[in-house]
Amino acid sequence: MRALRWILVVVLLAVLAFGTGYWYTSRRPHLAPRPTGVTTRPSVVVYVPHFADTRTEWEAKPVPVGEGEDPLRIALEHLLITRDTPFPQGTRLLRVSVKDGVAEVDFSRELVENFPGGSTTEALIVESLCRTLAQFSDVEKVRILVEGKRVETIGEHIDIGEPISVRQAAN
Amino acid sequence: MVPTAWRVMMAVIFLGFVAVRTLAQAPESVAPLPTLQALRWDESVLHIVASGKVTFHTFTLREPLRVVIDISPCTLPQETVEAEGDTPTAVERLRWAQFKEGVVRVVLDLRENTQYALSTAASGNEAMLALGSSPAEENRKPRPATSSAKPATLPPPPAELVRMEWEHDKDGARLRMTLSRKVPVRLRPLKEGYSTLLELPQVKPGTDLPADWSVKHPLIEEVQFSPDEKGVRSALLVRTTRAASLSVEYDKQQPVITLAVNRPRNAHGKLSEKHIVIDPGHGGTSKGAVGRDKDSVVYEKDINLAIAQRVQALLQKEKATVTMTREDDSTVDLYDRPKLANEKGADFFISIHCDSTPVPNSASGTTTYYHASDPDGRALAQAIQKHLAAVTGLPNRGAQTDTAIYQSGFAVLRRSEMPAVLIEVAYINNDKDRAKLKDPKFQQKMAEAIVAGLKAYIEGEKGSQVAQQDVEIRPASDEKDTVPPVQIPEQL
Repeated sequence: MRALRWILVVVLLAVLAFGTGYWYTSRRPHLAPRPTGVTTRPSVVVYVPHFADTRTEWEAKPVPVGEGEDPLRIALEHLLITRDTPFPQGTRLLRVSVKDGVAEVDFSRELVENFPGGSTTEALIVESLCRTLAQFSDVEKVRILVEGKRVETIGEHIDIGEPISVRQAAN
Repeated sequence: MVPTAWRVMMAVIFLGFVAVRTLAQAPESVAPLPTLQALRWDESVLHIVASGKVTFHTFTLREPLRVVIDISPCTLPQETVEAEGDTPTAVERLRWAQFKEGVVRVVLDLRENTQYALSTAASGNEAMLALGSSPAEENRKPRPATSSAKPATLPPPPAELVRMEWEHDKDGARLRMTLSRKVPVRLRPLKEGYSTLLELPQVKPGTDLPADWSVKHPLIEEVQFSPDEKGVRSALLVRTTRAASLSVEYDKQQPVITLAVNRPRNAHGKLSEKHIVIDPGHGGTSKGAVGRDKDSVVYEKDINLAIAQRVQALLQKEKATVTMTREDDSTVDLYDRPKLANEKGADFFISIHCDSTPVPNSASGTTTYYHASDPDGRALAQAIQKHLAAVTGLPNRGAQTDTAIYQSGFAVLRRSEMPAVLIEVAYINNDKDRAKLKDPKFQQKMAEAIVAGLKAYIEGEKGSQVAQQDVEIRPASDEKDTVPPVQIPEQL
């Protein structure tokens, strides 16, 4: 009888210990379930120059593209505001469309009005635009518009009266 | 009895507690760390994906040059990860390993110094490493070529230069080069005097080629062939006695290239017989670049006009005919400037500008631009740049094609029908350059150098070698050891 009482006490205590242990474990947050699939978000790249005397190094900056967003528009909008952009301050993208391999990119008047001058600066603007557009397989050339109108040049050096190729010609 | 009972009870409680914890933890302890799930090239961007939230830490190591990305906490998965997509040419190899417990290291072995940027997705499980262009890729389109591991993308073997022969008459000389296959070549003016380099990037010398291929001709001072057995950097250096028009013709059928050296357009007679259009850049509402000092502001348009008016006065003194695209601070349409020169049938078009860069004091010096590969424009640019560089006291940035600036070139040069140049006298947003640009004495020196360069283009250099009428091919001589090898400068 005495032995039976002891067995009962031990069983009760064992149940208590299991219960406490279970309670202790269950109050810890569950680890997140392991992901089953891989999802990568599409991204575009914008090119900005780092000009140093005789050499220009081009930095490629990736920009994530959200669902339902137009990668071309995202790239151009980002190019205008990203750090080290050669584009004049305040320049906005008004419209962009692609037809027959020609991207028509319409910028706000700040592109010309706030242009700080210098053929070097102007070349960096045009080249950063072309390098950025060159990643889109459907774009061969670009026509630059300002407030919807055709322009001969941005800063009175480079001829952009006709659409220009977005791929650099070897010279 | 009691102490023993207590001991048994305590042991049971302890064992029960431990058993439950162990049992509860066992299934979860297998996968506490995220794993590396994917490495994928998307053009020049490397996507790195982990199964959970991780931290990406990137840095570079040299010798050999490599970019390292440490991912933590992270382990390699049971199944093998394979990199997808084509490796860009700038990357020799992409490798990854469990660097230490909880850290997976991804390494990119680079072929050359390359810019890169790492960005992490908001979800924390993905990073994008974007590779920029390397100096060697400057003129390439941004799309990287496919992996070098594919035999189809390997460059073809270099062409052999089999034979070189000079042909000549009193107007000029032509060097006929016979190759084993057709290759592209390029002419590039050097900074020093009338030196031009014919770059033969895919050419190696043939076995029977003589060492010296100079020619005696009044236009030619020296010709040096710098062979590269590997067929990467072979070049021919041509020094002329005066501004000369150098052009390359490709034979349509055979792999033959002819380098023609001629007296350039409108380079006969006297300066006094010529009509020159001087174009002071910008004007009126177009201020051009702006130079700022503590207490003053200077506009490019005003400096351009000041120098242009001095050039005008000097040319008039030489009895030449001068037309200005603007005489004062008026606005002139860009296309109207070359149009005026074309309508007047002018012999030369000279546009005067000052340059500027996005960051002040990041560049200094003088450049004279010509359009594309126009041989006459190049000769005029070389002549003017030679005389400018001698007196500016600023870095000589050389005569350069305007397509080096951008492929379409400068509007005023592209649309001019006569030999035309655009001079970027100095950088208005460089303190040292600007101090000079504002100095009337410097402006006068620049104007004198421009006129001297133009005169040298038309009439030849003063004190240059007397024109030799005899034309003969000089065979390989003993002097060849004394001739220094051609130092091929870096890209301008």
